[in-house]
Amino acid sequence: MRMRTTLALALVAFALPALAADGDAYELVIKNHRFSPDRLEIPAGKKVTLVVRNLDDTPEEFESHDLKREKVVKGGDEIRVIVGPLNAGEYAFVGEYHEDTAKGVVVAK
Amino acid sequence: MKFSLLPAALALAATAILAAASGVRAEFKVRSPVVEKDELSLEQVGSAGYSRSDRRSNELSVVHELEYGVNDHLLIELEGEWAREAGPGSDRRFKATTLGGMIAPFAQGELWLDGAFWIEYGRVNATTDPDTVKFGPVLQKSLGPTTVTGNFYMEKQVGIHSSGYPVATYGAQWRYDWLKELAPAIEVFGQLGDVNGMNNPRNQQHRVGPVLTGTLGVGRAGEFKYELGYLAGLTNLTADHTVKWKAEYEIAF
Repeated sequence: MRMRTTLALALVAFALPALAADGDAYELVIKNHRFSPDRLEIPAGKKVTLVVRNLDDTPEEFESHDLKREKVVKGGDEIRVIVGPLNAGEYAFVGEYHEDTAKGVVVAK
Repeated sequence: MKFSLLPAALALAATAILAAASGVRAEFKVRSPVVEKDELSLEQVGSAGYSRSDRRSNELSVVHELEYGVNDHLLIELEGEWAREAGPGSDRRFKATTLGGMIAPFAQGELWLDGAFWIEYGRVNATTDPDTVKFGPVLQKSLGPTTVTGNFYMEKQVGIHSSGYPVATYGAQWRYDWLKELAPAIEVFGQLGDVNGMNNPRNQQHRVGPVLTGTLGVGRAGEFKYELGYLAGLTNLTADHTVKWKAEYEIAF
């Protein structure tokens, strides 16, 4: 009985992420080590998901000190980064492996 | 007569607690619940404690760690700890090998509070000491320009030489995310004693102090992370002064 309860709780714990709301999705594409768009508008005060698609063959690290997020996206792969709710303002981000070209800003308004 | 025995009884109790506490690893590290898939990190986490009292001085702990993010929800870690117990005449020796893992069921930012569950098994090198199991929640919350992280563990001796109740420990960091390269923080660490007697402050260890943290990126070659801090002991069982450090190299595959 105790084992069943433990298993049930474990299943609930792992099912919850699927149920948890992570807001609207906004896409960022990496190509030729540049982000597109390099200025992404999202609603302030709402949790949103950034879907970062890397169309290059090489990996990149989506990094934002302002958003307190960093996550590696392999070449040809995509990642999901949940941010917010954000105050209105601008939040810079870079591709850490190619910081000279891969940069942009999330604008919450 | 009754009162004249009190100091002796307290000294005896303190000695017993110190002896019992020797099985609990000195780890001045606050874990984050965020797991990075395919990220490998090599760390050295160290601390050195000094006191006016020789009996509580000269302790040292150096832990070398290898961590890997298996996926976005599971991190595994292998540690080796070299330590020198407090007190005169102690030698530095290999103390324990530890295998740990962290399960983070939720993505960062998915819930109001980021959380994970840490569990580890420590195999002590000395045949006369007990092994240990440690487990508990690892929590983190971003608050404006700051980040608060808290680790709350229960540690239990296991195996042939085990004794006593589980011991409650904690570590927490309140960091001001000023710059990526330099983020000052306040850290607290403590040991509340075993669950049967944690209401007595004399049985507890608490430390608090400032820590400098930061990350230095080297592009595709990875990142270096550092921490350097000073912790002041707040109870009689705690070293008066503790210097702590962490040097970490991270690379993603």
